[in-house]
Amino acid sequence: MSDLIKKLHKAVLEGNLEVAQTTVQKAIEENISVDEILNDGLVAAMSEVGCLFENGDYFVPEMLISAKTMQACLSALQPYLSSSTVKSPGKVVIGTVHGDLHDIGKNLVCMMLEGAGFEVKDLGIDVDAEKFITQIKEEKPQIVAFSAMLTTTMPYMKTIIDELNMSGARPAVKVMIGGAPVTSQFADSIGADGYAANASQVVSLAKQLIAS
Amino acid sequence: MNSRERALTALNHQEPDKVPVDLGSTIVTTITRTAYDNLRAYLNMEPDTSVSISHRQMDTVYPREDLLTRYEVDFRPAYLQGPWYFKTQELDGDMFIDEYQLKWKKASYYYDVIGRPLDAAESVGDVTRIMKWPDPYDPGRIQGVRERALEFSQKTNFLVVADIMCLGPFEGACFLRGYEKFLTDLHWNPALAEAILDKILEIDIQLWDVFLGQVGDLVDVVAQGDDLGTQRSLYISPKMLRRFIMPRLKKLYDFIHSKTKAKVFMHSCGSVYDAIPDLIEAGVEVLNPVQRSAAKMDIVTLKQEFGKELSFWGGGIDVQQVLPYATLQQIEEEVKKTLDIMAPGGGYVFVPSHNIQADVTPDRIDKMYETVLKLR
Repeated sequence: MSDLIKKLHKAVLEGNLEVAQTTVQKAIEENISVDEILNDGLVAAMSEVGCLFENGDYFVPEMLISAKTMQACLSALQPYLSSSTVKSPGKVVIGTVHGDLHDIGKNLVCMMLEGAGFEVKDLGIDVDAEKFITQIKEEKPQIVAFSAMLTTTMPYMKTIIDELNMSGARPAVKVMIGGAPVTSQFADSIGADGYAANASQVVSLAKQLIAS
Repeated sequence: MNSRERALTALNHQEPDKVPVDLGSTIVTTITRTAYDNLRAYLNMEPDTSVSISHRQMDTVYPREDLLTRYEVDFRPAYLQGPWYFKTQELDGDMFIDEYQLKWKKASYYYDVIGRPLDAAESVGDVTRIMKWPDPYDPGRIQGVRERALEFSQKTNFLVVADIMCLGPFEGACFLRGYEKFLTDLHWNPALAEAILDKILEIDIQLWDVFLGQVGDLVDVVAQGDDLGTQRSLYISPKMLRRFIMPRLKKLYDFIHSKTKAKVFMHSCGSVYDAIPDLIEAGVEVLNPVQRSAAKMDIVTLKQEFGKELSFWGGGIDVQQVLPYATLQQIEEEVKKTLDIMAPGGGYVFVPSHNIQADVTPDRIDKMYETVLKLR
């Protein structure tokens, strides 16, 4: 790994926006491959951020500044991505379910998925079954993800899955769910394909679901 | 023992004749309107047509005396009124703007923040330039407040609680600035973060100055909230908490202690185990809601490690994972287990681990309270 990529990796890990941005520019100018910048610099750093969060060394603020640093670098790389050989691990359509306006956890999930190279279509908050189904048909993601923060909105996750079944869209996607009151037992009981307890576990879950 | 003696004995870490029971003395130890209406119908009580809403956003009520009497509730609330200078701005689509200029929108049962007055703040100066802050000394706030508290403190034996009425510094900053922005500010713009926290603290102290000026000699507990925990951990690291939050909470609680002999009750949802020693040092004497379903919030550990210094007010039954789903028998067992762990040596007030939500059936609520009354 070149010194520049090491520097970029460290800057993302520490949420050092300025250093990360100048380093990405320099790496592009020095013709380091987009693949290497993305995977060895950004994705690898965000994966480490996930581990640090999982271990309790990082908290939400550290995860946020790393993710925002990564996003800025990703935008700088955007013009070069289409001409590169980089392949996204998959596409995820995500939203907080109808009746629920909470989005801190869901937004962290989006950032971690982007940080792992996924293409993410965020439908926002208070999303009903119809919108999920329309977007699944349009975006053709491999995964659809629902979040709920309240015990009173959790049951709507089952409504969406039932409507997905009826619409015929269910077989084409894997469903993963999460949110503070949600458990893996609940996920099983409503017929979801997977549950993740936090934003860091989501990445491995998504990869696992796509591989299965 | 009467209610007040019972509660004070428990809060002074001695074992009272019975475990004190709460329902409705604060906006975080009460019941939502839907669950309340269902419960009244189930108990064949007449509908409460003039129901008193204690917190609009959480859709909670101050339950009526008949219900409090039935469940032998030992506490009654004192609360501040709204100001005269500001009227809540009602907007189309079930939205409103409050005194802090937070824009709330209703979805299902609750309101959540969708517009934040400090969203566009960039510098310290913006904190007072782009946002108009509440006027704590508006005379409307104290109308009838002392008289109502006197009714309870002189004519009844209930312990009076000064209810939560202002934003906690951390949670308030997250609301006013937006969670993502404020949590990012802690690293990238700490001066702005501190300026927001300081302004909230200033208003909080002034509001408590006003409130305790009215009821400081009549209340035995002062309730204040600041949600520091998530389901799995603290929002921010203990190091960050010590830098940004704890000194300000200490300032607030020192001020409260300077105005009243009442004990400081702090509400924080989520996993706050790692912050407890710091909270005790900051002056917290009572912890609520004891969210047992969050990480590291096992009540055996909490009681063992902190039970001598800290009283627990909550955790009677978990409202997130247990109360909405448990069988009546499980509820009975759970209440018994809680009392066995928490009651010895005092330092415990029974109430579920947060407001009873709309999805809890009335038979479950009644079973919980009937079991406590039988076993306490």
